Amino acid sequence: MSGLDRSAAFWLRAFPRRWRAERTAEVAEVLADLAPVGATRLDLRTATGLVRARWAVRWRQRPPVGAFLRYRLLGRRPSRAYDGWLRDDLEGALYPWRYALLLDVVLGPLFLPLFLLLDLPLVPSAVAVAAGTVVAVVDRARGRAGAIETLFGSPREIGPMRPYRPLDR
Amino acid sequence: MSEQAYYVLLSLAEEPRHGYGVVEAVKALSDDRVRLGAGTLYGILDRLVEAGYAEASGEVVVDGRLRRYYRLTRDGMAALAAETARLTDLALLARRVLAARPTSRPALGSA
Repeated sequence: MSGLDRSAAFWLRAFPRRWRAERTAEVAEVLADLAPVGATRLDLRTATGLVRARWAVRWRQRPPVGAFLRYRLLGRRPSRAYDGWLRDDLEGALYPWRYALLLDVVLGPLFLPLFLLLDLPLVPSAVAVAAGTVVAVVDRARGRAGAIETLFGSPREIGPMRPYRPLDR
Repeated sequence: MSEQAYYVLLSLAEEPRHGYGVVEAVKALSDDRVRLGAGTLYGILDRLVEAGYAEASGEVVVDGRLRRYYRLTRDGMAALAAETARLTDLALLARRVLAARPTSRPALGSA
């Protein structure tokens, strides 16, 4: 694998898994075609374009804000039309962090007045928030398989194993 | 429809093309003015395929390299024709407005 291929593979990792499975080989070839002769890595403009395209792909496939918040905060499933996005989200490496950081963003403004009202010291409060975030991350990381099973159901039962019977008899 | 998407549709209207072929065709059609990067190209192709304006028409492996070809659908051709008509109307309107403009403007505020 050349340096350019490695660089392309690195930047293409930003895309959702489903998209990569279908498109990586094709896009990598186009990136190789477009690169100047002798290039060993993607230039900044190309890399920026890929990152922007990655966000566009994710944004386009995302459910509406209401459905997104109900899913993220209450665990309610978005409609089947967003199954692809849902699977990408659950299987993504940053899924636990996305979940925990959204909790911070939503709960932060609710708890901030309480912190201010009680005049709690800043550093212990910040440590408590960070600890809460880490707990949420660990919880989601451990609950990922369960969430996939809850939202998509368990893999189809293929039936009991029967005794082995050779084909030539 | 963005100018870049319009050029991509136009390039596919000529013949089915693979990704790099689209980039080269758009460069030629726009007199080297529009240069698509891979991210922009596949963003546009994804949207066109989702909208039903384009579809993958086959894959060819040349020298070990995968080339996936895209072609315009009937809906894509209709969208291209509609956008072209819209641009033509817009250009006609602009010409009319510019032609009706007086050659020298009187100074404002003079008594």
